[in-house]
Formats: sequence, C-alpha cells, structure tokens
Amino acid sequence: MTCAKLATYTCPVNQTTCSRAGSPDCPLARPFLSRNPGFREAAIHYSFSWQVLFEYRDMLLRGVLVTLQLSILGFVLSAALGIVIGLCRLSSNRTVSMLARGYVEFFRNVPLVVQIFFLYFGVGMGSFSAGLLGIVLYSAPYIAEIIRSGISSIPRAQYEAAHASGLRPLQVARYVVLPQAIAIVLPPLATEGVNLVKNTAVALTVGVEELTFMTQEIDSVTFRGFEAATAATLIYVVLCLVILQAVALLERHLKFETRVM
Amino acid sequence: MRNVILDNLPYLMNGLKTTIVMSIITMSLCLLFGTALCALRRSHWAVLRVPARLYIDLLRSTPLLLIIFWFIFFVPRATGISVEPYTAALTALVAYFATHVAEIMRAGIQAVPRTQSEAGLASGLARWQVSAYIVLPQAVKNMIPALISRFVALIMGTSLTYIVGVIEFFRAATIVNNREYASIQVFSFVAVVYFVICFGFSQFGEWCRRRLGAQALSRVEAGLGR
Repeated sequence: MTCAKLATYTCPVNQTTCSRAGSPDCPLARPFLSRNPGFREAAIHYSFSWQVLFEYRDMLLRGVLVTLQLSILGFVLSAALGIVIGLCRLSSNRTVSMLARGYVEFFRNVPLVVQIFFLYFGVGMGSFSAGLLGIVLYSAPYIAEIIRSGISSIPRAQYEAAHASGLRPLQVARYVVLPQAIAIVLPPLATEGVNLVKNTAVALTVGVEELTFMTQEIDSVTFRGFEAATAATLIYVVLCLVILQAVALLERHLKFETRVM
Repeated sequence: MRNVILDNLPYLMNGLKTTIVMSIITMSLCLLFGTALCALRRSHWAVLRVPARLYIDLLRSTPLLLIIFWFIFFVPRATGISVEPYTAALTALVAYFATHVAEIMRAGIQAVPRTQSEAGLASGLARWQVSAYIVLPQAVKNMIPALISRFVALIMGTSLTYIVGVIEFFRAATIVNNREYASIQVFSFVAVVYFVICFGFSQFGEWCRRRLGAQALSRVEAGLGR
C-alpha cells in the first residue's frame, strides 16, 4: 500500500517518477537532511544571492497558494466541525457531551504529524486531503473549546430575560446570544487562525508542496535555501499579521454596529 | 499473525526514551532562556525591550518546522558551524518554545493585581522585596499550569524533529513502519502512546490550576498554539 502511493511521487529535481518507492532511499521516506549531502563542505564562504528569489518566484508563489488553500479550506472546515463539537459539548444529553469531550481531548493530545501520517499511510488518503483533514481534525477541538467557552460565558439571566420578553428560541439565539458570543469568540478565533496557518507547514511531511516545502525544493535545486527560507519566514509573518489585523478591524466594525443599534 | 508492535517494542521504547529526555532537556533550557527573554521583554530600556519583542513575535509567527529547517540547514551554512541533527533540533525547539515560556511568564506577572505591589510599597518594603516576596510567588503560581501545558506542546513538538533524522519516538515508529508495512497498527499505537502521555500531563496541569487557584492565562495560552 505504501509502495503504490510513493511510486507516483514525481521527483521535483529531475521530474522523473521515483522508482525507489517504499525503500529507505525514497525522498519521502528519508529525512530531508540526507537530501542535501555535502552541505557542510559548502558551509564556508557562503555568499548570499537574493536574485534567486526572483528567478524561482513561481515556486514560491505556488507554495504560498497551496499554503493559503490549506489554511482557508482548513479554517472553514475546522470552524464548521468545531462549532458542531462545541455545541455538542454544551448539550444536556450526557452521551453526546461525553463523546464531544472525548473527541476534543483525543485530537488535542496527539501530534498533528502523527494524525497526518495515519491518514496518509494508514487510511491511504492523497497527500493534500490527508494534510487538510489532519489539520481540520487537529484544529477543530480548539475551535470547539473557544465556541463552548464563548457561549457559556453569556449569563443565564440573559436567556431568561429574552425568553420572558417573548422571544422564540431562534430569536434568542440570533438577537441575544450570537451578537455577544461573536464579540467574545472573535479574538481567540483569530489566534487559532494564525496557529492553523503555522500548522499547515506540517503537511509537507506527506509531500504537500506548500511554502515550507518549496524552500526545501529551491534549496535542493539552487543551494539557496537561506534566501528562500528568509522569504518564507517573512511571508508567514505577513500572513499572521494580516489575519490579526483583519480580525481587529472586523471586531471594531461589529462593535460600531452594536452601538448604532 | 505476529504482533508488529510487540516485536518492535524495545526499539520503539528506546525512541520514546529519546523523546522524553529531549523534552526534559528542552524544557529546562526553555525555562532558563525564557526567563532571560521575559526579563528583557519587560526591561525599561527600549534597547533591550524592542529586540526581545521582535524576536518573540518573529518566532511565534513562524512554523516550528521552518525554524527546525533554519537551525539544521541555513544557520550552519551561513555561519560555517556544523552541527549534529540532535543539537540543531534541540536548539530549534528551545528557540521556539522559549518565546512561549517568556510570554507565559509575562502574562503570569501581569495577572498579579497592581494593588498588591502598591500595598507592598506602601507598607514600606523595598522594590526588590515587593518583587521577591509579593509579586513573584503569586506570578509563579499563575504560571505553573500554563507551563505544564507548554510542556505538553513541547512533547508533541519533538515529533517534528523526526524530519531531520533525530530518532525519537515518532521517527522510530516510521522506521518500523517502513520495515513492516503495518501503518494502521504502528500509527494507532503511536497516537495512543502520545495521547496517554499528553493527556496525563494536561490533566495534571488542570489539577494544578484548580489546586493552586491560579488565574487562567487562557488568552495568552490560546495564542501560543501547539
């Protein structure tokens, strides 16, 4: 099963299909270290050449796009799953809430790379879907906890008051719970989004060609990993800043809206 | 049918030992480096404060894998110092998790109400006495649960060092898997072992939080991730 999957791995260096699939020589089976033999000899007299970033901008851009794809899809899916699990944890049905708690505790306490390997090698999923599902399963518990604490931090009196003033349950949720819960939940959700972007790098372990993977590829072609990794680091920093800023803006906008109402 | 896990148990346990030893060494170094970083971050002098803040923010928004790559490939290449994979991985983990420790320490100190130190100063204690006898004991109490949860994150983080060839628990498992082709058994076993260890420590952290009555640093902790 492992063989069949790795046999389709196309070597990024010489674009041939890998015939060493499944053996320890396989690029995916080997650690990255041994893909760069002789890097110690060249350590002395390292001169920087930043134009390599311009030459290989396509690879970097492709990496950024895959990272974005993984992040956005991952965030949407894990938010959906997280909301369901978070609501389940608040359920008055004991079985449902215990199951949700079990899910949260298990997937929070198993390293992401183990989950991704299980999905890729064990279940036999494709590399992108294994990476994506791993990230979703790993992030959803955190989002579930955020949702749960957001909703449960709204005082009981609020529900009772809303109910007493004649609102139906759906209206209570829409006009009383949601506006308050969103304000509480947004900042931690943003930091979870940042964590998720960082976690997408782990998908490279099964060969997803995202940003960090591309720095290794540029390095193995040009030996200019330092420059590539600098660019990648800056891109991650910018991505994280953009997310945090966007949510800060959204938060201000929401506050403005509630004040006007 | 023979049992893949039982056959390879000594090898896997050896890997687990490396994981645990590595985690403990890293955590000790993180506490040292993190304290220094926190002190710099809280310094009155901008010359010390700003670089510390830049360092913390930079490392916190970079994936751990990329940081490991930095320490194994790029820093040695640019500086000409060659390092063993184990050392490089350990340095990367320390560099990364020390920023978390520093942030937790900062939050733990900030969570001590201002009135406490004001009251201490008003009752005639010197500044250092206020820090040593009033603020720090309470701050440490706040930090302990969060530091335990960082230790869990660190144990999970060591699994990423497999990529540079450190034979810790996860790499031992992938080697067994490459030899035996029993992915489901091997990785289920790995998941369960990590779960038992990490869940145990998480519960211990929660127990400490209740027992000590520590203030929740949840906002800071959520930002650190795993």
